[in-house]
Amino acid sequence: MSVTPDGEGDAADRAANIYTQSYADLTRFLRRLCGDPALAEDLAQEAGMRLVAAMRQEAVAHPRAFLFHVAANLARDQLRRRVVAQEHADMQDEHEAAAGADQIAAVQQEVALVSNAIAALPARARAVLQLARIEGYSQKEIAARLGITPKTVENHLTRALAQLTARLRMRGRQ
Amino acid sequence: MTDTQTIAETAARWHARAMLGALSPADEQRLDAWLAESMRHRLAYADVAAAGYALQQSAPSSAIPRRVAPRWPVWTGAALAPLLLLVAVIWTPHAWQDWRSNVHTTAGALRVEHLPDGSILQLDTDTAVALPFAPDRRDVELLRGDLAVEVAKDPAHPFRVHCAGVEAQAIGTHFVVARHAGEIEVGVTEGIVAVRADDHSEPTLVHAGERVLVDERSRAIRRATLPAASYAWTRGVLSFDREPLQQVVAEIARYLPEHVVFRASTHANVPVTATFPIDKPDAALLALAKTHGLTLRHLPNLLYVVQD
Repeated sequence: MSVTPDGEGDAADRAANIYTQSYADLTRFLRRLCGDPALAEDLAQEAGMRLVAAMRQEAVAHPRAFLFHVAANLARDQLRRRVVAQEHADMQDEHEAAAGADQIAAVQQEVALVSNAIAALPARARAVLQLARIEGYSQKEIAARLGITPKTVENHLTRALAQLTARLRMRGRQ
Repeated sequence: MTDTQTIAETAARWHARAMLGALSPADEQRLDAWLAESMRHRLAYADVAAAGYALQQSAPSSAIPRRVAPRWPVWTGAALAPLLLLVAVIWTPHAWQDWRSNVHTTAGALRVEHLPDGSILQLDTDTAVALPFAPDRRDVELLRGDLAVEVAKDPAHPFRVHCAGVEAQAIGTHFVVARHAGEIEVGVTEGIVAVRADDHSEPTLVHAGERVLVDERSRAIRRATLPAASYAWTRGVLSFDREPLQQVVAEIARYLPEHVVFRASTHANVPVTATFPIDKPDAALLALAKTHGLTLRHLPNLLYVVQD
């Protein structure tokens, strides 16, 4: 397309690295979500652009999770539109206005909402979340650390995720 | 329990197991099958995934909820500006030219167009051409890029290429018209072409082995010779003869959909002599980087970075 000489920032550089390293996983995740390989690539690229923009603007503490979160949100916009088109051809899409809105702000707002919602969960569920959100802890390790069965770990996480999701969906409807 | 709730809980169960790394390949197949059942399932799963990634970014100490409301209007505005800039980079400003043209090429896509009169047009990368062709007229308009013309003989009907007010009329011939950075180039490889910079001036005759450059603003015409390796793209190659590396990279970048960032300023002026096949610009970049001890990073669909 064209060439830019020197002068791109370090932040854009780091964002580029994370995007490159995550690209295969990201497109796999998006293909699973959307069931549409071409759309998955488009959304991955768009999410990559948002990551670069976000990291230029300020420090992003968990860039990989941010990237996947933006990607999931872009997919949600697309899927919501398809659901509406399928089921309510006569209805206006109430989310239309929010769809093109600022994805970076949306992610930050959702992270804040989730952080708040965690505080309202029972202590045991919170403990499971704490361990599960740090990637690398397996179901068995969490079970061993908390002295519960692996199945209970899964149940806690399922319930907690369902509650956090409900919290996010509530905001979407406001 | 409502249907929506059931779907939401199933989605939460699947994502919980995915987060815990507890999905076997068979489970993954079952998950994909469940997702394929309905768009609602997909949406529910996407909602849970978003919550899961929000969770991963949340403050480590969940006992201390972060406050949001006061900060959020501030970063909304700030967030928009860099975002728009980026979109501008990716979105080519050529959309309207493509729309006006009958024939256009995107980056890296060359194209040969046979006209009804037997003339042949060759379009280089990222080029747009409009063909207001009628039985009694042979006029072609170049909107952007590089166009090579092989004109079928028909003295009764002059063949003309128009480009931003410059007119090149063929007198039995083989020639190239190119439009880049405010300058229009007409180069002749065979025969003669009459070039007019505007409606009033006398035509300038350009012979084989010559070229003229017309400034789009001042309409000034400058004559130059045609180097032997000119218009290599019409032969399917990119050819460079002791040209500075950064310029060579820029030339190759024209054939790639991605933006290319050159971050090897100490090597910018190293002379390069090489010939690359035009249909593999990515391989050309890699070869250049390797021979100069530089690294090439690729962000699929977005960017190439050439750096020390």
